[in-house]
Amino acid sequence: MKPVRLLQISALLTIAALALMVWSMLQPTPLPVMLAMTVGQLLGTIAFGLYGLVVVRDLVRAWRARRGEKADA
Amino acid sequence: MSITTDPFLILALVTASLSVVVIAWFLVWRPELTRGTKVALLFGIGLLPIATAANGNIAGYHATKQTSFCSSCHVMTPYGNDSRDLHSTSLASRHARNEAFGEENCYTCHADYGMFGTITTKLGGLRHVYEYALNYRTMPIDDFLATIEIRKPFPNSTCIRCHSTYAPGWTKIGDHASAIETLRDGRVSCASEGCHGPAHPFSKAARRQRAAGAGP
Repeated sequence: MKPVRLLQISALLTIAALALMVWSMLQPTPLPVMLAMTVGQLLGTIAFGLYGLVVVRDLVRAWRARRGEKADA
Repeated sequence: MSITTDPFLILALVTASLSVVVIAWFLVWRPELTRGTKVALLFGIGLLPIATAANGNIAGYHATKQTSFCSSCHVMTPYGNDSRDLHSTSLASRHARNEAFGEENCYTCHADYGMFGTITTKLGGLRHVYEYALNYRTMPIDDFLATIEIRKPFPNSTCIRCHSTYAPGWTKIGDHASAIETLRDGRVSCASEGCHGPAHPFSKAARRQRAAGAGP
């Protein structure tokens, strides 16, 4: 999957996570609080994981390119 | 603590708002995926939401201590109402009128004592939510009051942390002095009938009524 698409999915997941967290803060009753602390934080973690995946893939690609240039030289 | 006075809540809302601004910029403007964009997204997807979660968790823990939180489940509403009733003479209500208890009067008495008291209390609260969601959510309040029981006897250690059994004012009371060891080791509950309890005026009275109705 392309990095931009991954980051778009990550951004949407973050929005969903933030929505759950803000809901729990504005209406602190058991259901919103539990959803925010479980589903909300799970979505946020997945979103950040996708962002990390994009960054790591970019770094690996850059590292391979540098290694290729060195080998050519 | 309200929305305007809890600094963790305000911080959480501010960081969430900033995060949404960054994400909206990325999704709507669709900038090129440069290093600058990635750094901006590090804040929008990573650091700011983490700050929101951290502050939101603390604000959430504060919120779960409020009586309004406990009584938001319909089966607990009578307990919350009684604690706020200035004319009630129940043990819970008389304690709730103490400023040290305030809006956290359920939590102050029902939180476990000791180093891990907060953790065990929160785990117990999770069990409450589980039981409520699966067993009591649709139960009529009269049935609930007639059947509900506290899961384990109310520990005297909760009372004793304020009402020291070594204070002269406590030991000079004859009933205290004669039962001091049984009170300290919890064999007799402070909140038992005939002593200071029951703490809430519903459950036991409702059970007695039901038993009287069902009797011969």
